[in-house]
Amino acid sequence: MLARWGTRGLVVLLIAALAAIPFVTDQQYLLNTIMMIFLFSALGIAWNFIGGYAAQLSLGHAVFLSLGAYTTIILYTRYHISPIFGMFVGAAVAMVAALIIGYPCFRLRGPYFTLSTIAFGEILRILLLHYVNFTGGANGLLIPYKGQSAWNLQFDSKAAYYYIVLFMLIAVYMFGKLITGSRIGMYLQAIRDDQDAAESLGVKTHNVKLVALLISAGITGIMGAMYACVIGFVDPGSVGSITMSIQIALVAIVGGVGTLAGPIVGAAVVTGLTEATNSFFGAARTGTSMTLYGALLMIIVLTRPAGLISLVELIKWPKKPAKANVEVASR
Amino acid sequence: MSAILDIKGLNKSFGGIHAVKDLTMQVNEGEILGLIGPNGSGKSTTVNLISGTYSADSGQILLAGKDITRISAPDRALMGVGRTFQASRPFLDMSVLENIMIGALLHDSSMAKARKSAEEVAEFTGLTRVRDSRSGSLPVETRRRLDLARALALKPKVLMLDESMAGLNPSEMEAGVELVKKIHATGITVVFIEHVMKAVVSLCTRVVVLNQGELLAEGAPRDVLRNEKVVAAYLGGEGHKYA
Amino acid sequence: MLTVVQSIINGLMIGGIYALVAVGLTLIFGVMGIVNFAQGEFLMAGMFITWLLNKWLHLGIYPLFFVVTPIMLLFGWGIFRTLITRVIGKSDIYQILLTLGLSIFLVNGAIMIWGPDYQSIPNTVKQAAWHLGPFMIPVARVVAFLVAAALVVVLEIIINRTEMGRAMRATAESAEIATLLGINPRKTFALAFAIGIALAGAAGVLISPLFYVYPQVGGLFNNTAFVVVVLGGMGDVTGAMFGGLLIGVVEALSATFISLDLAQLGVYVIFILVLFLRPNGLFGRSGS
Repeated sequence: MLARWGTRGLVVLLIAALAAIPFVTDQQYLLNTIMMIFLFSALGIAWNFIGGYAAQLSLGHAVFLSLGAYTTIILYTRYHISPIFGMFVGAAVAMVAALIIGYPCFRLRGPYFTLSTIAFGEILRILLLHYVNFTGGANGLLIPYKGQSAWNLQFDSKAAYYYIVLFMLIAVYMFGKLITGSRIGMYLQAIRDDQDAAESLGVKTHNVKLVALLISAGITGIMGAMYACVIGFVDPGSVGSITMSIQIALVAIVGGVGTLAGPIVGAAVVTGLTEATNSFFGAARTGTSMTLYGALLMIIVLTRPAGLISLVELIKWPKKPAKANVEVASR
Repeated sequence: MSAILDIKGLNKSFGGIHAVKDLTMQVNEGEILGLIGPNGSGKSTTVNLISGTYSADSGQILLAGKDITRISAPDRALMGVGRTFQASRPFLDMSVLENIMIGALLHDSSMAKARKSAEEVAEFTGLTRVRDSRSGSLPVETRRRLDLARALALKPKVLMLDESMAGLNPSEMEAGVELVKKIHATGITVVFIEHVMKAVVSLCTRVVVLNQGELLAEGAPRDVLRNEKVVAAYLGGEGHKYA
Repeated sequence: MLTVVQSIINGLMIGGIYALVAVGLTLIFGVMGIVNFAQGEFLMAGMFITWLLNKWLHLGIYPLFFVVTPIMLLFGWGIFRTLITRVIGKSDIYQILLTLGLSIFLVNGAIMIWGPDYQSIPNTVKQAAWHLGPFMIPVARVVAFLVAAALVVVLEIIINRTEMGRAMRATAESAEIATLLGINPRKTFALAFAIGIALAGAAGVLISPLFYVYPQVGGLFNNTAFVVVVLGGMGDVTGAMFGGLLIGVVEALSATFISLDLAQLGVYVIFILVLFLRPNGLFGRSGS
């Protein structure tokens, strides 16, 4: 119990410290980097619903991200609809895409889902490039800056975005907590451990996976909208590429598949790695950070499949009882 | 006696192997039926076909008169088919109680209700002591008990136990037999797949013997175990020890 | 009509290469159940080795074929022994992630070493073409197609007629059964993986007169190979061969008649349709 409260205290302290950062420094680069860590943390948590909890490896989350981003921008620039509403429309569009991808695939076992997420990713990328009038093609779309306005999610300072994204991360985390403790969360965990056994106990695995994918896609769509607002610009090369899909997955895998705190660690490590290699090697050696990603992914899979979070016992998956307790009990 | 499970001309092949061949058999309501046979005789495949884990190539499975051959495994669970797995497979990262809740959630509308039912099942199966343990850390005997408890939480009409006694020592097995009797006493029909003849003889009211995917013999345990065909096919004289 | 026939010819030619890459992929999947996400990168490696050896030894592309393919066989075997063997029997998520990591590593490692630029191998066959009535068939494409077809046929014979092939078929059915038959599954896995990689490498050599050599060239073939493998039925070598030819033709026709940038779209749409309607492959047995 004491440990439980200790952990809780630590979390509150951590949030307070993060919230204080904009007061301490006005270095835009630092704020931006930390904000990107928040954003990718939330994306990693969203990915984890399907990739971690349901153990269905998605390499197509760029689809949901770019649908969220493009929908929001198009609604804003063409129809003057606030991104605050636009992001929910974007999320809905992403969820429709999720339904189309997931429905046929979850009937099948094996790597079909992974392959078709890649296929849908490519389809969307090609369409985004092709329908120039609507999407701006390879040039992408720019959000014109119309002066500071909370209604349009446009701010002069990075700090405002920083707080919004931090708030969203906390909200996504809390939502994740809610889900994992619920019926659907338990079903997901059961499916991950043993699909046949789960089905024999009345779990409709097809539907449960679909729900997990819908949740994952919805959150990813909202975060995609926020991503667009923060950057002020989207193009297929950045938000719609397989590299983006891999990066989202990487955050969760490096941090800890099927955990809530894992993606936060993963996002910090992956973003940190990118920034570090960029400042060391500069733009001259473009492949460096990606080479490291590749190596990191292989090393994690071979040596720490549970992710870096498994190194830290303290903030591990909270529901597991302590080891000693188990041994006494099983006597 | 009416048949709760009526199996007609069931077939299943994997690649070139005909695992279940034109199997016709009944499970009567309220009995403990022993399903026995040598390794690879198709017992587990039969259980998998009845539970819907595998889909049949041809043939029919009726549950209380209703055709369930083309119904999905989770729907069969809802209709009252419960089972355990040969290699007992608890959800490793969950506690014992959470494992049981997965089964209980099928009928219970809220988590709180499911937790309460799961606690009752844990009590019934003697798992209360370890209810909060992570199930991946349990010894074999407790795992088998958990497997059974999970299926029991479904409130099944028929419960199929796929080698629930494998790997248990004699005293654990005795406790296992007692538990099965206790479950049977609540009105659940039990299909008992087992290698250990002692357990079969002490529990079952009737026995069906499979060999190479086909029905070889059926009847009262003592009669079947004396049957020459059965002895020749697999018991090899061991049968007489308990007959 | 002439354009249709010319497109079909072009499509079949490139389809032979798709078939070769996809046959390697489907062999690996069929025998060991692993989807190799780095298949296209092994093709890229084959191209780079060809490019390097050509620079150093001044050997032509076709003599190099007999050098590079065995090198790739060894490379594949080495990758199996160091990496792949560690994820056998693990969840397919980890298998995919490992080969995906390998793919990212190889592409970007090549970018680090040689830069992202396009290189080309000087050769004489590039411009040469045969004229058959009104149709034009570039020599390099014909050679690539014929060698690819020959390799697939040889592989079919190996699988169906030899002891080695019997071991692969048994292992594909079940590693346990294979063990009972006195087959060493690990050895068979290593062999299948090495052959699969060698086929990708061979494809790399064959296309080096047709494509630029650059680190991301594998990406052109990776996704297409996945599509072909699913189309042919996962693990089905004959299916992958026909699937490769079909995809080549579909791509060429849609490039001619719809538009170049939508040509790939047709391929993916077919993929999705197959997944919806015939998940066991276009030519495979129906049902599950």
